[in-house]
Parts: sequence; C-alpha cells; structure tokens
Amino acid sequence: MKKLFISAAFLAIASLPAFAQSAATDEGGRVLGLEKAWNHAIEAKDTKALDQLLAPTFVAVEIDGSVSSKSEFLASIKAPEYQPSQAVNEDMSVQVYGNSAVVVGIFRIKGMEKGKPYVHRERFIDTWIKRDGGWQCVSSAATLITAK
Amino acid sequence: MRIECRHPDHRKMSTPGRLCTILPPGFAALCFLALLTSTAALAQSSAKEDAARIIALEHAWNRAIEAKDTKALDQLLAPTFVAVDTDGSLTRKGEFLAGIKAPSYQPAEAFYEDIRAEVYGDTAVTVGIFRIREIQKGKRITQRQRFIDTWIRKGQTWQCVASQVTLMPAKQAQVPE
Repeated sequence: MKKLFISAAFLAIASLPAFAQSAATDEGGRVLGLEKAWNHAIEAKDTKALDQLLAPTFVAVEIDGSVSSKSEFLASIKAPEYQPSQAVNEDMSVQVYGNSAVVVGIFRIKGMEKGKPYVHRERFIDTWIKRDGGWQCVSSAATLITAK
Repeated sequence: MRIECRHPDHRKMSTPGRLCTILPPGFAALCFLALLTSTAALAQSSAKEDAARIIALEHAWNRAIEAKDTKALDQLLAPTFVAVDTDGSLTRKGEFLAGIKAPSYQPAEAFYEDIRAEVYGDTAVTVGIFRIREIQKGKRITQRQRFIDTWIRKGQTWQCVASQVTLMPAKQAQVPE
C-alpha cells in the first residue's frame, strides 16, 4: 500500500512539469489566436474588437519611434485616411511567463495612406498580460525591417 | 444588543459569537475597509518600489554597455531574452552579448533621456528614449532610440526578456560627429 502511494506521488510529481508545459502551450496558442484576431480587426478597422484586445494602459511604439496610448492608437486605426487592405503575420513565436506572454514576429501590412499605396514589413514584440482569465496586450513595438 | 455576525467565513472563526456581541455596530465593516485600504496602499507602494528597482536595473544595463561588461549583462538578461535592433533584425541573448563584446563595438556614452515603468504583478514594461554615442565602422555617431523592454520577476530580482528599439526621426536620430 505504501509502495503504491509512493508510486502515485512520484507519478504526480513527474507529470507536473509536463502539465505546466502543456498549460503554457495552451496559453501560448490562445495568445497567438488573439494576435490573428488583432490583424482581422485592423483590416476591418474594428476598433470595438481592438478595445477588447488592448489593456487600458496599452502603449505602442510606431516605426517612426513615436509613442501612442490606447486611445491614440484606436483613433489612428479609425482615421479615414488609414486604409489597410491586408494585415498578416509572416512569422510568430510566443514565450509564456506565468501570467504574461511575449510574442515576437513579422507583421506585413498592405494598404493606402494619404492616397499612396504601401507595403511594410515590421518586426514586432508584443507583451500580453493575463487578468481575470483573459489576455490583453499592454505593449506593442514595431520596427521597420531594413536588414537584408 | 446582539449584533449578528454575517461574515461568510463565520464558521471558521474561533470566537465568532462572543466577538460580534461585544463590538460596536459597524466595527467589523470599518476593520474590513481599513484592511482593504491598507492592502491596496501596500500593493501600490510595492508596485512603486518594483518600478524604481527596474529603472535602476535599466541604468545598470547602460553602465554595463559603456563598460562592455557582458558578465553584468548576463545577470540582467533572461536566458530566453530577445532583442529587436533598429534595422528590424532579431537577436537572441548569446548573439546580443557577442555584439557588445565585439572589438568593433565602441560605445562612448549610453543614457536615458526619458524612462518610465509600468508594473503588472510579476511583469513590468519600461518605455523611454535611449541615447547612445558610439563608434560604428570607424564613424562616430549619436543615436536616439525609442525602446520598450519587458521584465519578468525572478525570485528577488528581475530579468529582461525582451527589448526592442526603434530609431527616432531622422533629424534627431543620427548626428555624425
């Protein structure tokens, strides 16, 4: 009986890291899903959906080095001159640290701005925080890819 | 007068009835409010302390860059650290440290013009402007970069897991000397 208990305890302890890893993988998958939802919201200029994805303290660094708060970011998406036709992530990886996650990837955006067509490839790092069971992005930085 | 004790954990309390009967009305509510207020104040003060600690670590990072002290940087950066440079290239911790160690990299001065930290429990995000004077390929340049760093609490200290820099507008960004 004692042996059985020890074996069961050993199995439980041994399965803990695997369980933690699997939970992190699940959470990572969830965050990557939200990144895709973010792109769809940009394409549709859906600021209501974006409002759900971004934390009230959200801060973004744009490719020109300017910083915008959540409301400024949403206003820029809503602006009539901003006309994105396609927003996709070419590459994405996520690292989960408990209640936070860091996503690194390449964001490709195609559209028209002030009457001119453009295609940008930007490297980004987004930081997400889990609160009340849901994830929200607290920071997003983008840098134009000029490296070959 | 008997005051009814309606606390949800009533059964877990050691002397519930007696305590509730001798205390004046509203005393429990007052205690609860005081506890809530002090907990919130404590959390706020702890977040402030964490923010100050992280900003100090950011300054230590600059000193380590100026001194090309990769041992100090090794302590500041998590094993999973990733950095995005001003050209959009991505480097991991090993490559980042190798870049700092390279003889061709000669930083003269690195400091923050502006920095602020937002703490979310065991995670923190710093945003600011980083100004660096360095020699790149024999040329002296000064760059102003906007950065966002993400820090994770590791036991008693913090480690940076991600850092991204974006060059500030051309006029101010690169000043040949």
